[in-house]
Amino acid sequence: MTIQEHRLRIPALQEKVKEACEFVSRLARAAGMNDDAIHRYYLAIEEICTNIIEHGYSQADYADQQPVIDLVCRQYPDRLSVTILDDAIPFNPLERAEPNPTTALEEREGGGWGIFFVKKYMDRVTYQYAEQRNQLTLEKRIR
Amino acid sequence: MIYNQLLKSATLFVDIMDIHSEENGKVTVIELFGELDSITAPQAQDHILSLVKQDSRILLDMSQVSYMSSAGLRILLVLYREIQNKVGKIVVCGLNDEVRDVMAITGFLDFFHTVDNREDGLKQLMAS
Repeated sequence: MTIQEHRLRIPALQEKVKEACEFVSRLARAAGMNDDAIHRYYLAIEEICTNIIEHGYSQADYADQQPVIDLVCRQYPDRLSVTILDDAIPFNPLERAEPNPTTALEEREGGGWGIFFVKKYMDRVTYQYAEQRNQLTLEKRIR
Repeated sequence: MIYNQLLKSATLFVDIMDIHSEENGKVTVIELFGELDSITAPQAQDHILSLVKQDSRILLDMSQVSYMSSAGLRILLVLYREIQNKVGKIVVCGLNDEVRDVMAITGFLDFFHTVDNREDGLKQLMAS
């Protein structure tokens, strides 16, 4: 089985997130994914990277460390897998309580939709903390 | 698809959301241009909110919004609340398939009246 692997490292800065989104979109397109699937990857990558920057790396401890986010894309014959790695404190976003889409807008607290999209838009999402890094892997079948 | 064209011309991007507003009779038309993401949305929020007055009838034209993430939903949330507080009305028009899907799965679509185009939106708000 041939597996193609592509890697990207970005500084953990909001203005660099688009680079990560476009990197994954290009690979998804090259893998033969349709426009809808490419949009879903683009959105998922924005949401995860933004969460890492706004929450994971928000502590002052990281300020002078020039934190990074790594992306590792693996293309299998039947699916594309994207792992997003960061060095913030261990945090499993999949364990966070999901917002409820039926709650009236007046009563909503606002947050949590990012990871909600990721779960909805991907076929499989897994988290592990390994080698002192948060590793969130998104997988989507190539149709 | 607009989204594809944007991806292809990514290097030409400027990370600013353009906002046009105009009074059309008793309706305030707010037209957004570009992507509503985690960079542009926070910058656009204050401007958009400042356009809401007491009893405002707002037509939010999103036909030129190619992409929206959860940061854009946050704007819709505060806009909705501001309009409620000021006893106004809002109609949204011109949602593309992706933006509509983002609003649908998060339940936002259930709380906004949407129409296909600006003419229909104006008609409804004028009559209300």
